[in-house]
Amino acid sequence: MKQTSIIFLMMMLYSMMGFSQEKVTLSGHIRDASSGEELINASLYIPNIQEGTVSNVYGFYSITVEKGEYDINFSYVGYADESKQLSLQENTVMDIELSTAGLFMEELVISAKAENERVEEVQMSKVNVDIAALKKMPALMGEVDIIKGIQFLPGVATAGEGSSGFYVRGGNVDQNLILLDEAPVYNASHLLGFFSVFNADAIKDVQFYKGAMPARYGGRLSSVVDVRMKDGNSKKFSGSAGIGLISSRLNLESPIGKKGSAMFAARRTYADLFLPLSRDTTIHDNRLYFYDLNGKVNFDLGEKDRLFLSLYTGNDLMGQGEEFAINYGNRTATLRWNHLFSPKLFSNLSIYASDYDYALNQTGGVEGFEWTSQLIDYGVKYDLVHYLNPKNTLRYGLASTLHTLDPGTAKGTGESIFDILEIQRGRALENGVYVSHELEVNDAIKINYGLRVSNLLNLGKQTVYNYNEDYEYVDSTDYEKNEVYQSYANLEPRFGMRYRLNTSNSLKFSYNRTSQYIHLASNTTTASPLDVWFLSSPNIKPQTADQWALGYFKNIEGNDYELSAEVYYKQFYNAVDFKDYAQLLLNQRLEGELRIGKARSMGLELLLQKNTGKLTGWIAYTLGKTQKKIDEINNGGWYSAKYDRTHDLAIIASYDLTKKWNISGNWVYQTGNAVTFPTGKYYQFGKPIPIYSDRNGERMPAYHRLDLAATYNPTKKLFGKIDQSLNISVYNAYARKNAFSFEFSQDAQNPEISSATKIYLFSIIPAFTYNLKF
Amino acid sequence: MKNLLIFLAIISLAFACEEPADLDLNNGDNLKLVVDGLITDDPDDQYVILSLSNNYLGADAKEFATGAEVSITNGDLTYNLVETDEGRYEFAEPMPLKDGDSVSIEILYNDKVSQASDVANRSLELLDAYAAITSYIEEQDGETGEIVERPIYSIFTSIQEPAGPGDFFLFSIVPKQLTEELTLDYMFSVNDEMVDGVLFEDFVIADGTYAAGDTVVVEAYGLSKAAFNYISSVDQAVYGQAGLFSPPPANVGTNISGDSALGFFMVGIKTSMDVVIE
Repeated sequence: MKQTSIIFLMMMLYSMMGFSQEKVTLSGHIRDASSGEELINASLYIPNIQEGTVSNVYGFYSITVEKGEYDINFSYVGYADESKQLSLQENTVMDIELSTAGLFMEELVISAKAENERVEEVQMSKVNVDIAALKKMPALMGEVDIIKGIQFLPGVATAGEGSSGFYVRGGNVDQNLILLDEAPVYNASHLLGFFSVFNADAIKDVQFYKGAMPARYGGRLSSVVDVRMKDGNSKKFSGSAGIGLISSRLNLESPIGKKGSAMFAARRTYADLFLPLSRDTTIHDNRLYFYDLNGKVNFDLGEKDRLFLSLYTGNDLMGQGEEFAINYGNRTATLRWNHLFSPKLFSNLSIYASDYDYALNQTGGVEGFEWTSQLIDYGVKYDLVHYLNPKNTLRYGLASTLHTLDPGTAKGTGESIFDILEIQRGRALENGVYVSHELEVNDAIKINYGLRVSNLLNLGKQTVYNYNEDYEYVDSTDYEKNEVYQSYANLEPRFGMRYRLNTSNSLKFSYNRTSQYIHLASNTTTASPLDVWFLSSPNIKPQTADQWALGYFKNIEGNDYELSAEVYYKQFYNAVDFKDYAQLLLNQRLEGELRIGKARSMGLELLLQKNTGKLTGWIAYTLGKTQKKIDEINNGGWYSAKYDRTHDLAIIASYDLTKKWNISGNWVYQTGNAVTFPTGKYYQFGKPIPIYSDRNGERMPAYHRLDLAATYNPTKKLFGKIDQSLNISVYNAYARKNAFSFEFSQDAQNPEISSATKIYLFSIIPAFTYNLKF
Repeated sequence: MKNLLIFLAIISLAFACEEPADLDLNNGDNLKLVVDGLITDDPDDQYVILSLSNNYLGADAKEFATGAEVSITNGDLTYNLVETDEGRYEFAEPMPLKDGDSVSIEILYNDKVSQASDVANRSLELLDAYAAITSYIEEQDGETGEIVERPIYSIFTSIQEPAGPGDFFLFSIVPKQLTEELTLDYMFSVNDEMVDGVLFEDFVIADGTYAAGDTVVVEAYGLSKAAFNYISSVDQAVYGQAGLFSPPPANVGTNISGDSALGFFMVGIKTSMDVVIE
């Protein structure tokens, strides 16, 4: 630890060495010319000194250089490049507006990305999800879904056919930190996972980290999905709308005076209208829909201050006649304050709340009950970015979140025979402080090192159940309200290095340690809205993970093609799994159902992207292995995680046939899930009882699927001013019956005859979406 | 909970399809001894069935384990059981059994010794049981093809759950004409976590299209926690493994020692009442 501190100090001193020269700072925001929307990760580059920077998540940039004359290039994916000649003799604030391709003549250069961005940056294992590209891609039932887009990336495995759950480099679904304008989203899926909660019309930017986790992120082991909502058009009233197979959408944006803007988006499905068409008459009177509402306003409070308020609410309702209803959803609210202390020092204060809850009602008779569960986070984050000079950027900040968990309360209703069963609430304060330093050591070597210190304080009032070594309940200990009855702390070093071989080739290495203090209790085949989260406690240590990754990055033919190859090894400690037949819901002694061990994941990821031209897309391949080892499971031996995939291949392509027509397609191939199948049987109570293989010792058949789409963009505008487009897509174009699960059953006439049945969810599914934009 | 999960599964699979699958899963000839015994204070229940496991897929018939040496010990007394039918081992004389007795079994089969033990727990008080028609169902008559209306009987019971937590019960409600064996389709297990000490009056415990003259036997067995968990696991293994919201499948546990035996040896106190359908 002492040695680490000395190294850290030396690097800090090294970074200060250039300060004695007379320098000036150019800063400002980079925005979309038509909407005023801030552009994230837009590039600024000064060729004659070969220095540059990128805008942050609020579109702010800052670069400090010696006084002088400079040609400065600004660029951003899908936008025309902008060049400025400046004589920088003093600190200068300059806001830049970039225009989209459609507004300009073809001969202007349209950037796909900042030149050699992926080769130059230290960051590896990160992808900026291109929402515009996603909208052209085929989608299940026509619903554009950013999570489904992430699932096409190397290192990401899907939770199952059509599911929006995902596993990143061997991490479980609860190890993904999903942020919507800084607020965590605990259940990012609708309709039992077939769709995500993110309405693409309301989203501006998605940054996905699967490794080399920046120090400013914490709380999850495996990935970060940082989703930013649009700020709203500050230039004019605008909007978009869409009518699809299962949902309709509306998005409105408007300036608020001259100092602000607002955005509102809504989406509602009408799948319930189709239920009466099902062959299964028992579901005809069911209710089945979801909706999302996104809203955001922002105001300039002067040249140095800006305020944002973001709101989201989304709900699913599923019901069976009057007898049964499940209602679940997320709500988030974030208030953010950007403040510039100086052109070099940017800060953001975020105060947020996140709520995930569900309610389940069964009416009638002695079995009537109501069951509710809720998870609420209140948090504050303060992040500062210090742009010391082009070679040094310092980031530091702190965060604190109060978790309040109500795992479940069930009580009888009406004439019910049930008493009330109330699982005690859990409360804990999760804190983190971090500092990181990005340092360009020389032309070839650039490093980013940092440290995050996190801790968890479990707060009373609480009864802690004590267990023996066999996980059997022994006794309990009571703690008073607000009493800190357990604390954990972890040091989380983060390190990344880029070694540039030449202008189009680089090698990168990263190491990061991550910690996780809140975990999901789920052991079902498919994600369920009724899953509950639980906190680390005296019985459950925090999960931690170490990840090492090595990568090679290459640009081919300028910026047209990008190739990357990464190998990673990840070791999980205190990995959570569940005992056989664990009872996870409404269980006062849930911790006794958990089993703790270790896990490991390793893999090779290849990604070839074509960024420009009529044909764009990527090929992603992952060779991977994920295993767990828990003493009480599988006789203590290593076993495959259910999401272990040996091979995972995705080919994504989009082709502009003409100015009006675009066609696109996806083809995916995945090794089948690791599963546990019966290999023998015996008889008890008149029934055959299966004897199973090792845990996840068998494989489902391989999964593969082709999706196709065509998008028509007529040049003629509706009513002379509304852009329109029609997207027609086909999911699973060759109608492969991919196994979703297998059911094993006995012959009704002769129970001694057993057989297996394959369940598949989707055959070929055509869909359309008609979109309007004004 | 089961209703809920079934509902979720129905929603998920509203448009799902299925087709027969050809999987190669059989376990060869790795057959294990299976112990099936629930010894109660009722002498009619004092027997053990021994059989062998077989391959999962296919149509292998149940094979019984004959020629085993079986002994059961309750306190200081050991009883050697006699094979009265293929795989069925009975006491030569009834074994007295009361709440709290610890009973063990030892089996010698194919030169391997298997052992297990369990504790007899109290049952609940069955105060009353009767049947009444509560609704009707239309069915097609098997002979005439006509639609006929058949009554559905509800079995009403009055039950006193004993005061004090930690009780586990197995209920069996089955027409005597159908079977006298415990059958998973006609039984369920409960604990007293939410109903400790509760008096249930005229509580509907089962429904069925019984025929006049049928005798429906209502039985309640007091179980140990381990036996309760075993039966819950069996129930999960039979009915709960295929669903989307089921936990990963896992082998049902056993209290039989050694890795060459399966099943469960359990003991418990029984209360019962006959209900004649009128």
